[in-house]
Amino acid sequence: MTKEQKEISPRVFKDMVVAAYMVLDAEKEYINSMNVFPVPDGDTGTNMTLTMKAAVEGMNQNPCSTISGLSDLVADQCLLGARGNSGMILANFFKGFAQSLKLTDKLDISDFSKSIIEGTKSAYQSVRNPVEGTILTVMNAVAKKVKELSSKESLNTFFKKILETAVHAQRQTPELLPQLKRAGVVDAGGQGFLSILKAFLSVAEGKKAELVKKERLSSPPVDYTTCSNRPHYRFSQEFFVEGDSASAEKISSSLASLGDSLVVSQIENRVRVHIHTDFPEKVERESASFGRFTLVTKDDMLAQQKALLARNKIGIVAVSPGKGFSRIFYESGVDIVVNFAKSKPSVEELIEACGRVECCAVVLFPNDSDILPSALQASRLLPKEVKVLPTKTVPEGIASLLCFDPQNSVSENLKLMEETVSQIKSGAVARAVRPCETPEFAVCRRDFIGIYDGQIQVKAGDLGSALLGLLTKMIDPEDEAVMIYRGKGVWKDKMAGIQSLIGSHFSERKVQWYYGGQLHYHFIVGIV
Amino acid sequence: MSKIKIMVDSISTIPWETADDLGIELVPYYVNFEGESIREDPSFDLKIFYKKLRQAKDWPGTSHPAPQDIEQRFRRLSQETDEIIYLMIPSQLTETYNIAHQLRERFKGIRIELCDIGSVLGKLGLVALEAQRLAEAGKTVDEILEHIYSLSNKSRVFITLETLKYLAKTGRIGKAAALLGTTLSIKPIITTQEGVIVPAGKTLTHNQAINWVLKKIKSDLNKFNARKIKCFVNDVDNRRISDLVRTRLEENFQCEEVWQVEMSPLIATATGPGTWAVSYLIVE
Repeated sequence: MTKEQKEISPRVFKDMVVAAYMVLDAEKEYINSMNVFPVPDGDTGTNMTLTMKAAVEGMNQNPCSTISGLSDLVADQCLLGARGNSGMILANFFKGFAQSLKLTDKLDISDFSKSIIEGTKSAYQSVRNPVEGTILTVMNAVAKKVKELSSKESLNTFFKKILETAVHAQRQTPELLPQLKRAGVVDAGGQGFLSILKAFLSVAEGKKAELVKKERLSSPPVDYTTCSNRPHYRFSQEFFVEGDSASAEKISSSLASLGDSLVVSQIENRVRVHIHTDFPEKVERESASFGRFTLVTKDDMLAQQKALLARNKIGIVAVSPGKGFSRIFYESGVDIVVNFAKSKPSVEELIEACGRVECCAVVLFPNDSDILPSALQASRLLPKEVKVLPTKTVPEGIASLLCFDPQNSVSENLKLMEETVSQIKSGAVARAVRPCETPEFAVCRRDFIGIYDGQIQVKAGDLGSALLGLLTKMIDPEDEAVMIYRGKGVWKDKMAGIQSLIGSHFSERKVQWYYGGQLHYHFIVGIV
Repeated sequence: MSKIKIMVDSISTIPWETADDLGIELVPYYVNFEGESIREDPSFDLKIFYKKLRQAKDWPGTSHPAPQDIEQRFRRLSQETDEIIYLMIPSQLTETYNIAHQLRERFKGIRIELCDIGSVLGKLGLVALEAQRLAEAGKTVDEILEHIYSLSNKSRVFITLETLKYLAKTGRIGKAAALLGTTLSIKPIITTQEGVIVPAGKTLTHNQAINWVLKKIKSDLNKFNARKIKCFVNDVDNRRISDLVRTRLEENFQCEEVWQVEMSPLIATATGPGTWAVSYLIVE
């Protein structure tokens, strides 16, 4: 069709529907991945695609060459094939769309505008409790926009403008629906509607349905952790009720108290229902009183959600020698911290901690060279995938945790974290519990010693000098960050003196002081 | 037919003189500092501004272009052309889109496309430069728009901050708020996603952050099976780092263009001293 054309022929309308299906099909995984509302079960894209697929199959089986015939067919087929919340809403959109075209058998811009307005009305009516920030909001924005648009526009401009409006409305969805905002996504159903409008525009621009550009989009980063642990209702149920006394209105009000996300629509004496509920049997009994009950699907959304969350998450378990470190670990996204004070954790304790994380894959940070063997042993004994990041010190653990990216795979993360481990320098200050000899000097009992690279490199009579000596050995000119973690045994009143001593020697550097809370070492030092 | 004119917000950090040479129209933003509203323009002295910024007791505010700034430009350009593409700051971050949207109604017969690619800094700059190149080559508005929207997957911006403190003050911290309030002093790396600021990574040092960005570029090059990039390096009073970043980029990649430009005063105010950013566009 040429760009100047103002009327849509039945052939072009058919092309638009086919293109909508194809674009949805290409983008469904992307849409699935942003599905967090009402339940993060990751199926919105698939559901909308299947809904449109029903329309396309219907058109292939029933040759029809009029606009009203085609739009009726699309509406009926969508209603029959509708899946999920967004699918049902979409099907009802097409139902209203088709009703508006019953009297006219052409489709120009003003007809199309009216159909969109009617479609949106019908979509809203089909939902018992319409929620804004969803596909409905995007439809509504488009319905408002078409009222402003002149019927003299070219089809191309018309679709471009409504797509622009829809994109804008879609961006607003997180502002209207807190669940989306928390997860950092836009609405999945709205995104599906955008795919459809995109397809319409491409066809209006003169592209054949088969040639409409289908981009495979990569999934957006979604923070599923913001979704509640449990869906509000457990089951998603879809079914037909067929019979002379089956009425959408009556069924809708009789089921309203049994769940939410209720979408109901009627085609002659058949009513199609979508509901989220905890009582599928009750829903069935209640509905069967209006006519013959035929189940389409019943999904356990709790199981779906659990699987999705687990699939998308890598668990982290870290061993910590003190309260201060534990806090830093939790803040950095560790799921379970294994604390120890005097005695190091056993293999059993590590197995228990890793077992408690509800993820398919776990990365374990031993953060101590003595705990590393137990960690490796634990990883071999666990049935799930547990990888040990061989961190020998806590600073190594902290630095590598920071570069952990939940979007990456376990192996990508391990590679990245291992690199970071190799960049960090760790040291510690402690008090000698017995006399010993180093190649350079003798250490007496109760001397303060500085350990770096596994060797005693410094000794001093007081804590401040030992730390200063250690830092002097460790810091190279190109180092950027010096982090010192105070142990449990260092009183706060001693700290002022030590901090000013260190500050005056390394005045050009900003030394960071933290509380680690470890028992054996007065200070643990990390430098990178 | 007259040539299509490209307008772009100054936060693209395209240097004023470059914009002049190429015929790109820059739209200035404002920094409200010590009771004064200072317009970003070629006479804006960044050195003095940075110095003041480091000593500021009351942190400055920022504001979007005045409607007349945009209107004047629409008016001037409409003498020369009847097609304008205005690439702008994400509508989630300021009112500019709404202002421009209302103003364009006054220019009947002139096609003014408002183009929000959902990003800032060099990413916006690189896209604007591409748009200008296509306009020079005689492409139509539709062709240019289609092309620049297709670039959004191939271009990125990563901003490394010393602290999130200043961004939090602007109220536009978006999802990067997740990185706030941690005990450890980290260098957050942020990016934009569909116009919203989101966290991208966190590191302990600038050096780690540079390596992090280089890795991202490498993986993007692999993804698109490409070899060349065009890039922007921006900094807020941190020339040492931006020199280092530039060197590392040139050592590691085939850079078709490298624009090393100081940060726009607006972004400098929003992100604070020491911030640096890399934006890149994957070239086939």
